[in-house]
Amino acid sequence: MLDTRLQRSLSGLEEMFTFLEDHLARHTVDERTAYDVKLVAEELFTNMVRHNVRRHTGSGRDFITLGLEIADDRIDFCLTDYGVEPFDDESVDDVDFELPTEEREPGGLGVFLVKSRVDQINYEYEDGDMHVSVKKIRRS
Amino acid sequence: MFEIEVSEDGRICLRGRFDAAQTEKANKILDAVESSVTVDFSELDYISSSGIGALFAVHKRLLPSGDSVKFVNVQPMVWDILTLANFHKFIEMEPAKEMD
Repeated sequence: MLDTRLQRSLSGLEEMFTFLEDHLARHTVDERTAYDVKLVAEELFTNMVRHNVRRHTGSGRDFITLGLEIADDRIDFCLTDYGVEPFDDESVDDVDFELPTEEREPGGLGVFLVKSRVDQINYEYEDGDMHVSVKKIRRS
Repeated sequence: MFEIEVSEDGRICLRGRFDAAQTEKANKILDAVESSVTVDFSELDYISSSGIGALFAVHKRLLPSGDSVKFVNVQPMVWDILTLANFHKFIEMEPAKEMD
């Protein structure tokens, strides 16, 4: 699996998109699958940066690791955030689309999009590290 | 890359990739919207929940005064994300011509 270290801030998104677009293009992944991979990776990365609570500082691991493996039929990728409190995106309430506009608040949409656009997602927490792995089937 | 600008006819034009790192830049223009506005998506290739949230905030702010936001020339993959987020149920949206 290829991997890269991303700056643990929204500035890291630029590195993330460059890495993903480069490798998705090399493997001639179709545009819609590529969009979904980038979208899901962004939503997960952004949630880690915004919501994961750091357990300690000065560990020297002030980055998030993105791993990527592209096969003929599927794409697997994972994000690892180090030294954080446990957090599971799946515990976030789904967006209530039935609410009137004036009552709707931001939040939850990213998790909803993730759930809608992946074929499999798995959250693991071990020794202070949050690891999210995703499987996306390529369109034929 | 992401660009946002107001055209001569008052449309807000979006270009490139509207991701979470771009909301501050976008809000410099979106926060100044005070009446009905058309947003041109013809050159927008990508949007995530952060971009959607920034546009939703404009819609929500205009609602009490009876003003509205309209999206035009929405590209197919961006269209799919906006409809997945149910935007088509409360915002007038027009697809890009090639989708007609």
